[in-house]
Amino acid sequence: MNPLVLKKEVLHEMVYHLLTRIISDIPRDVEDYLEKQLASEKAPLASLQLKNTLENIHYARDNSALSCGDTGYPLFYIYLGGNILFEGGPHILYEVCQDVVAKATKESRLRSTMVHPLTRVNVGTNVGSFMPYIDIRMDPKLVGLKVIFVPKGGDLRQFFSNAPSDGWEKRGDKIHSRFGDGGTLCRKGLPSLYCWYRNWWDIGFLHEIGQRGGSAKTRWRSASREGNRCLRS
Amino acid sequence: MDDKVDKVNEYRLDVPLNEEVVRSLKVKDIIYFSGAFFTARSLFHIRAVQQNIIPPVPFDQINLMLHAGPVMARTETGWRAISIEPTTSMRMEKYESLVIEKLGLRAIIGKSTMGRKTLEALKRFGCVHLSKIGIYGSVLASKVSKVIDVHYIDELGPIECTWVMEAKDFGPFFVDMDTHGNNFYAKIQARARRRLEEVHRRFSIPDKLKYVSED
Repeated sequence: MNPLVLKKEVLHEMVYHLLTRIISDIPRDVEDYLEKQLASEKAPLASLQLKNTLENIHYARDNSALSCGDTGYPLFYIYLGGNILFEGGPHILYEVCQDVVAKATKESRLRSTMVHPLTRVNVGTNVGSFMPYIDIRMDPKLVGLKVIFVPKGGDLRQFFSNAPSDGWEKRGDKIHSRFGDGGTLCRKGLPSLYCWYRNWWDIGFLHEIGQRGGSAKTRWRSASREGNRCLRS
Repeated sequence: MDDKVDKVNEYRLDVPLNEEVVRSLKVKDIIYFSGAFFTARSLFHIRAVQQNIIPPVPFDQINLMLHAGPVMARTETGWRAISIEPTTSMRMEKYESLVIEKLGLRAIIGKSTMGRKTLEALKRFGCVHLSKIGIYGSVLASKVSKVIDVHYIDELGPIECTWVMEAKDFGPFFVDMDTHGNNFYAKIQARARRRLEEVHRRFSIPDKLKYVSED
């Protein structure tokens, strides 16, 4: 593998683009499921849950607004390939993630959620000790750099709806929403975006990861194909 | 009540809300509000009850509380709402009954439900709790016509501070706890408890590791 030297400016642009896209968009297939479910839903409240959510999705996409208002727990999952080098040193990876999160928070693209764990002071950037959360893994067989960004809400436990009982349910190959009893939809349960830098960078939805079986490598391949498909479309 | 829109019990109400109208609302009614409201999260409740620190909001005129920490943006002339997504109301359960009494609230908008103490206070003082419907924060924010004021932003930050805003047809929300002692979620909770027992049995979860919910 030929070494690939990544400049801070390029990394910044890539991560910023990744972040600004994910906060306003969701995967088309998830949107399709919501549309299908709306068409077959009979309970008035449940229909309204789906209808409102879809309206909000369209509004966010059309106006570069937020598809979810609870996005102040920024999580990065970064995979470093065997050929990747950073101009100025690997610490620029942390700096870029922090800079982008601070910039996006100042621009009201992320909610200013994070506070100091002891003083509870909110500095308005979502940046502090161990924040944003950055998980870096080395993958010598990977070519390039992969970055996943998850704009989470307040709590890692809430990857899925935190309504009393209902929410998403996966049956076979279909996602069913169960809102007839008033469950609450939550954007946090929806899949995230990743981008992959090689000689260029791609952005795609990460929705297949975690939903498919097989090894991590297989799941990455699935996600990569999806990413490319999204780019083509 | 201003006007009944259709047969699914959808109402458009003006703020300030009056007690008679609020007491006529029932669980599952869908409501849109026009007028002013204020935001309140955990620190608002803790400070109001424990330290008697209450923002200078005319609560007799603005008797609609919203559990939310909105995303706001500065503009040349003030502030603009970017997204207002109601937050989990149960966090405020410990203090809500006291806040309802102290401020004379008529309606509280949040996410999901609240507990028995709040349900009793709603009944006693004439107030309802409403839950959000879907993920709707950006559209809700687009219905805000004016950000009237903000209190304690320097001290508490933009999420925990108190925003006072005005909106037109702000909603829809649905009544999940009314003044007659009804809680929309009670049936769901009961069903979830029954399912939970099955889950515990199925996975042979020992007593000390069983999930326990207070409410």
